[in-house]
Amino acid sequence: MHDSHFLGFGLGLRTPHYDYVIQERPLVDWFEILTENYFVGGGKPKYYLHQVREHYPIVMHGVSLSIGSTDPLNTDYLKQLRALVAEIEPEWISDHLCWTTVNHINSHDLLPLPYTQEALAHVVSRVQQVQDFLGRQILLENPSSYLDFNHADMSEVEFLSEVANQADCFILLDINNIYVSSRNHGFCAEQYLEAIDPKRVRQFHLAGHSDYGDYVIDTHDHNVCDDVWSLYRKALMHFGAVSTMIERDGNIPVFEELHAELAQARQLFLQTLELDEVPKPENLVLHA
Amino acid sequence: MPKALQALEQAFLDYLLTGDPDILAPHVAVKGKSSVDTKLQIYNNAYKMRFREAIDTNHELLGLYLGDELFEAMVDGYVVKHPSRYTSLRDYTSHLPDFLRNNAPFSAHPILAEFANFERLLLDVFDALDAVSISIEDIRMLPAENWPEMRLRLHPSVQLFAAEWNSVESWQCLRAGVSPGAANSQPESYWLLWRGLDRLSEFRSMTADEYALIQAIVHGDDFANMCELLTQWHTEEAPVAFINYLNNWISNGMVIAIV
Ligand SMILES: [Fe+2]
Repeated sequence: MHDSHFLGFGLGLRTPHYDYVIQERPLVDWFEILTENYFVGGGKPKYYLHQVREHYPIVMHGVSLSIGSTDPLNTDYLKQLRALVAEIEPEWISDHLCWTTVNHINSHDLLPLPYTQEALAHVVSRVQQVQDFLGRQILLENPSSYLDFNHADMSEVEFLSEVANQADCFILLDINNIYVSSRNHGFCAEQYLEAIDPKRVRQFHLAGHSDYGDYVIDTHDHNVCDDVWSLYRKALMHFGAVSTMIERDGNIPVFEELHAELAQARQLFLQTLELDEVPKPENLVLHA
Repeated sequence: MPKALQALEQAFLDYLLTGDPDILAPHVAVKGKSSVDTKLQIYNNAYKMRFREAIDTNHELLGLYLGDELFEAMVDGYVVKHPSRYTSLRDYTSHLPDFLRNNAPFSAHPILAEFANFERLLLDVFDALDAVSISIEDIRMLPAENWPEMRLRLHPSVQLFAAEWNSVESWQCLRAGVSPGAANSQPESYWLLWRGLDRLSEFRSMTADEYALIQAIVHGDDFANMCELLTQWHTEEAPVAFINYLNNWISNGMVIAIV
């Protein structure tokens, strides 16, 4: 039914919830951390992270790999990443299928790639270099985007699948991003899901967005909307049991509210897969 | 080198830096319900918004001190003048004190650069490496005859700040929700910033003798030199004054080694 990498239901670890998580130890199967927040020398972020790590599996999610950039790979960044991986021993690490810097100027945004053969060869070779450097496979997330280029050789989902196959990496499928981009570019979200090989998908993101009618912006500051829940259901039918988490970065509510939203995901998962209970994660090592 | 990809990425960035849609629009597909202009504008808005937020987050009270209009003018000027060359948005604002010092209309008010500098140091205190502080017990164990040649190592979070304006006092007023009043130049005041044993950033004022003393520690002076230095302010009680300061620094977690 599920592979041994299934972790269950997680949440993004966010600063306002540090104390709650450590004191109350809520029933959450795992936490996702924002990698770059822990590149600081020490102090509070590191202290809390180690406390949380003692009790929960962790996955690391980065925004600065800039895998599609034509700048050389940032070796300082990769070294910091490798050191944090050694320190935290995450279940896996992820970043985005996008580019961030050009000519050493950082846009600090997850910018879209042109889905060309040239870009594909470039990204594949960079993923391979990163995986060799880190000594492990990575997950790449489908980005949300607001524009598409007019000289593409393939669709985003074809590009993403080819990157995963050729570079032998995994996919973090953001269900909300598929929805957001499908609205912005007018493609069919379900066909996108169905075009992806389930063996490549290790994690789902769910999140809220801002709907402006003619376009949708991926703001992570709302609850998950009904359309995204229904796309999640379809994703479960196609992919089976995939570790699922909810991202919330703005307008962050009390922890209990996110926890309740996560319970909704768990409920939908059990219903859709016709299960009585969530499969137990295997091979987990806690960091006590 | 993937030439077409490189050219496209450069065009995208040039568009973000200049806001000129003609640079990128020819590459953008007409799809979905929004116009190419709208699609481009979304990225341009996000670009500026992100840096605005970074400035606001890193300098939590500077915006209040400047007021909305000057804050927006600062953001506009800084974003254009300082494209980010950093991985972290935390570092992105590191040129802000210099920007305020060197650019009108901010340069006419030297307190602004000083205020921003103080907030920068608070960030550095928060982000500094961890290190284990020594206790008063550790120092009691040291043989008295070694004292004159001993040196201190400070916690990586310790920072010194000298102010010529009432910048820190104004910061404290805003923090307390009180109007800071007018900017005034004043005799130099000295501030000590560090991360306390409970991992909170702290700061306090200090006198000229303590400021000189901590500069001497940073410089690598030994205890004998530091007592000598203190005689400028404390003719007879220099060693007593030194021990008092030492006790204070150690009990606040500012010392990590005596070597
Ligand atoms: Fe995501």
